[in-house]
Amino acid sequence: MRLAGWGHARPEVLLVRRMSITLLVASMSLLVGAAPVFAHHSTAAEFDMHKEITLTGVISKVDWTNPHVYLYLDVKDDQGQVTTWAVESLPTRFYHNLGLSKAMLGEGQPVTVVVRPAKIEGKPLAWLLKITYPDGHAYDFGR
Amino acid sequence: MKRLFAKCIVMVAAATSLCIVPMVAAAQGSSSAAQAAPKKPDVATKTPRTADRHPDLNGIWYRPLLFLGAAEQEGDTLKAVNRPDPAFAAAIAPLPPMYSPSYKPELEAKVKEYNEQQVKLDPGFFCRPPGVPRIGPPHQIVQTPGQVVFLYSDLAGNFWRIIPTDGRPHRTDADPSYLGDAVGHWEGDTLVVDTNNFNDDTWLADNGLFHSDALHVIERLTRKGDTIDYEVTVEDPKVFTKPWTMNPRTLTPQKDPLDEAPPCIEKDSENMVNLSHHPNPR
Repeated sequence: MRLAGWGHARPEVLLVRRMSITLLVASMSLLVGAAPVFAHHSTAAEFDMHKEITLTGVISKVDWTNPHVYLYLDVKDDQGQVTTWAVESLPTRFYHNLGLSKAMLGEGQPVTVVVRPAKIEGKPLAWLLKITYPDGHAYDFGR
Repeated sequence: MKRLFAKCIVMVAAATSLCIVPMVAAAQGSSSAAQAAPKKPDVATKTPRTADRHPDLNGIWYRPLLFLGAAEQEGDTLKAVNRPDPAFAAAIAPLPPMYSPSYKPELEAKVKEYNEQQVKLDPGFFCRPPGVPRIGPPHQIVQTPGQVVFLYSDLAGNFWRIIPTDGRPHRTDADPSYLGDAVGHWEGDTLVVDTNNFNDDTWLADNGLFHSDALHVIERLTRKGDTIDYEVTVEDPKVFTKPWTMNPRTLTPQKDPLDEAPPCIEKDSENMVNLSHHPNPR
């Protein structure tokens, strides 16, 4: 595991916060059934397994809880309106197993996340697939 | 989804067994060839003992199962790699009949309904204590003369069981509880833990396996060299036609210390649009 010495994003590289939601290519054949189920509940019961979106914002809070870790991401749209997305993720033991900690998620950091949106339309809730920090380092939790 | 997931696990387990079987066969072959040689004491597998000559069970023995096996670094990206733990695959594989619980015929429909409604009815989905035997083998054991303590860092929280081994009987003044009232005794080199006085607010496992307040659990722990054989028998005459002998496990020493479990806070149920679920072995 090559995590020692990994830093977090430097404050001086704070990005302009803006909402950028991009619907990515969603190949059903690749996405459906290929997803290992990490969650205590089936992710398919809660999240759209056919969609991936990208959000850019600032991590306002990390809930280091089970059965799921939650990131809260403040995402600003073009009008300056901030929406706080709840981004659900793996249990804490999965993070430990990968060598990741709460501190490494980086409260206060600007990040870009690739997520699956909630099946409840319009709800700012999503399942975390990948998180990327301004210095380029990223954690990819897989599909 | 669940079926596909189970298929994947079965395929991985099958592939693993294809790799392991020849290795085992080869090992057995070499073992047979070596039988002619004089037998030497195997110091490495000698069972350690405490001062009172009981097998020494002290140590960290178990970590709850995880599907996700490993991480790999690709450039700046740390990637989670789907490398299932064979123990996980074994835990969610269909049980052979000899290790399946036998519910009374009139209760089978209830088990089926509970299984289908698992995400609404399973106390474990809502961070309730898992109870015994669902909590699984002890994660850490602290053994002293006259008392053994089982420690658990579980998804639902931190739990402990204090098990007197000084010959005292079960308590009669305690309220029914999730982990019950345990007493232990030694049968040769096996620690036998007898637990009763459970409440009925737990399931025995996934898939609707409920129980009654007549639950009685007997755990047997036998240290053999560097491993512990962990066997569980579940009695519940109100719901079973015969005692349920769970599939045995072999515990091995773990190097990582137990972590304090963070709070378990259920937030998913209000966002779920169907009843799909998957196995959650411990």
